[in-house]
Amino acid sequence: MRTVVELPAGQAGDTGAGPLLEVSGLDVTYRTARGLLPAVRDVSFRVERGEVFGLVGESGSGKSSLVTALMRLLPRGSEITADRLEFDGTDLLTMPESRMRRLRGREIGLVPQRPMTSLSPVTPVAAQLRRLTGGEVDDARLHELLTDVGLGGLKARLGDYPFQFSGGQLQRMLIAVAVLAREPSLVLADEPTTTLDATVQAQVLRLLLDLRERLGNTVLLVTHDLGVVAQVCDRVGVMYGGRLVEVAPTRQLFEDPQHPYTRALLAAMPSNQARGERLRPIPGTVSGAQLLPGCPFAPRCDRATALCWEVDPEPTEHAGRTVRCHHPGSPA
Amino acid sequence: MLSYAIRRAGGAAVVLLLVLTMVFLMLHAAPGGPETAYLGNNPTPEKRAAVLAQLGLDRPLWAQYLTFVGSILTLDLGSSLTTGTPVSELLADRMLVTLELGLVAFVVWTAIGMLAGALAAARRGRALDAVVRVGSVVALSVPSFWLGLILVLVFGLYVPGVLPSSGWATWDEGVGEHLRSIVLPAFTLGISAAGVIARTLRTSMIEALDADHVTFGRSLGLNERTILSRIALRNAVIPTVTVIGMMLGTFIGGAVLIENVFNVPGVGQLVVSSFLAHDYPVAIAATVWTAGTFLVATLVVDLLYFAIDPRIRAQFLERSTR
Ligand SMILES: Nc1ncnc2c1ncn2[C@@H]1O[C@H](COP(=O)(O)OP(=O)(O)OP(=O)(O)O)[C@@H](O)[C@H]1O
Ligand code: SF4
Ligand SMILES: [Mg+2]
Repeated sequence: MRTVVELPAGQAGDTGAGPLLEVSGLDVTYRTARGLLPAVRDVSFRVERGEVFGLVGESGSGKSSLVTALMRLLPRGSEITADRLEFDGTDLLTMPESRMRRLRGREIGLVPQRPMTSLSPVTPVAAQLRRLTGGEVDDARLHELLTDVGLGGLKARLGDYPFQFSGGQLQRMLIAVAVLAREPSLVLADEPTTTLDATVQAQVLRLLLDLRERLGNTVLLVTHDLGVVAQVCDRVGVMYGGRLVEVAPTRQLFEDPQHPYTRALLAAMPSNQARGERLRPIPGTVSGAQLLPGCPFAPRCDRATALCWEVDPEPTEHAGRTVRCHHPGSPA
Repeated sequence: MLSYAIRRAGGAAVVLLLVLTMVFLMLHAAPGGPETAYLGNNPTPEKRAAVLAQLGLDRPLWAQYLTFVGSILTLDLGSSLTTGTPVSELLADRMLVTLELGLVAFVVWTAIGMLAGALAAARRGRALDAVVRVGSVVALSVPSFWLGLILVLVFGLYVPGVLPSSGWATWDEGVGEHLRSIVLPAFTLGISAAGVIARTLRTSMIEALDADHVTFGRSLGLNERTILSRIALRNAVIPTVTVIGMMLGTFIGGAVLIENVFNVPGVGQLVVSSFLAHDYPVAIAATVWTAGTFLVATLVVDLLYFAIDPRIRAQFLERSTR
């Protein structure tokens, strides 16, 4: 039998019992040749300790921009503003760069989207992996790390260059340095398997989840794959046009989507088609959605009203989750 | 690596043969043959025929060509038609002068160009970057011949005695004197190449700083110094070496102009003076030496490229094992 001990509210901060990540009113703006592009707009959510938080949304909806902003690694000329951006109770926005740098890799780890280009092409992998772990790792430890991510057989090849390895092997190496070597408490995985072969995708994802089991870290998993979300995420955030349009526990989201975009997304899932439903691609495209004055989904939404075109809906609590829609609700 | 070197050297030999052929054909097409060096004004036809026979110029073209290539390959370069000095002797002295001038200009200016480019990239958008950007455009667009003349004028006329504006002091004349005499020609010879190198390295480094692997390195807390000097620079050097290879022509070809402007007794000056004097053997030897030096330098840069880019190496190994 398990006993749940309720902590007095005052102690929550000291024992690290609050959310691991708390984001509120986050905006990310790129300065481009064609003007300002608000890639992330007024995004608020929290990631609880130990959970796997999924982030879904089509290409260009702002998922990578959000993840990159969390590490303050956006390219030059872009701007982050937020009402609140806290990791483990500490404000990330006002943190000096030198402290932020110490946090990167040690407290927050990033598993990148394109493993094939995430190591320098001109330096042997062993030297790079050592450098990436802060130079504190000797050969024996490096080998141990690689064995732990299923690359024990590569010992003799560590003097080789990145292009001499497969995408799956590289992603395992990157996971070894980003997740395993220094055990950060938050792992940001930005579509960690999209560029890999289908057969390897499941293995790499499995590795990430096994490590999480072992190390007890928290994972923010960006993915296109709703099947993966259903299997591994505790909660999910759905992004559209720079907004987080719905945040809900995975089960609720799948059983009873409230935002019209979430519903369309679920309807377009291959497994739903396999069950005999007719294919329902979402009509229209996402491009330019960030710049609309009203709801970004209005041009493609079957419920859109005049209000939707004019006024951007605020996030509201609805049916046990957060939704950004003037007319939320279950399918009619 | 060795077989790559051999293959590239083979390619260079073919190019050298083409150069020889072109020099040969050009000399034959040019008005006023080598016999001009021997004959005064209004020579009699008999005298001309005698000289032609003596020089072997009355033989069929293909026979002359074979003799010509053969003599070059056996390094039997003959003697100057005007002074009688063996060509090899003439060339030996001047070769050292040109090589020294070219090498000094190359090493110093490449180092300056790379340093400026790397610093500009590291301080992107700041004052130093602006200085380098403007400076490099000015450097690469100034015609070196014109710059040389201006410097001769300035240091010869307006501020005499600061730096020698003409001539070349040998080592025997004192190390200080020698080095002082290199300054202006070397400055003029390499400045435009340095501009190109600085711009290329700056652009390549800025590009490299956008790479996925730099972002990944940053996500693991690497400091900016490591990112710049170990990662971005290492990647940016590859396209820069290509450009350096392309700039070699400026250093070697440029020497012809610059040596004449500053009156430096090198091969470049010899090329011009021997052509003007119709001194056939000297002109050939000087031209071929210049072309040969260019080929060797290009070969060295190519091998360097091979050494710094593991992907090129791998591609080559793949091809040669297939
Ligand atoms: N460096 C940048 N400069 C300018 N605009 C950018 C930059 N990076 C992304 N964008 C734009 O910001 C928007 C959001 O891009 P982002 O990469 O965050 O989307 P994403 O959801 O991660 O997409 P994907 O699923 O394709 O990775 C897009 O319109 C994109 O074109
Ligand atoms: S706010 Fe209006 S347009 Fe936007 S999703 Fe809701 S119903 Fe559709
Ligand atoms: Mg992305």
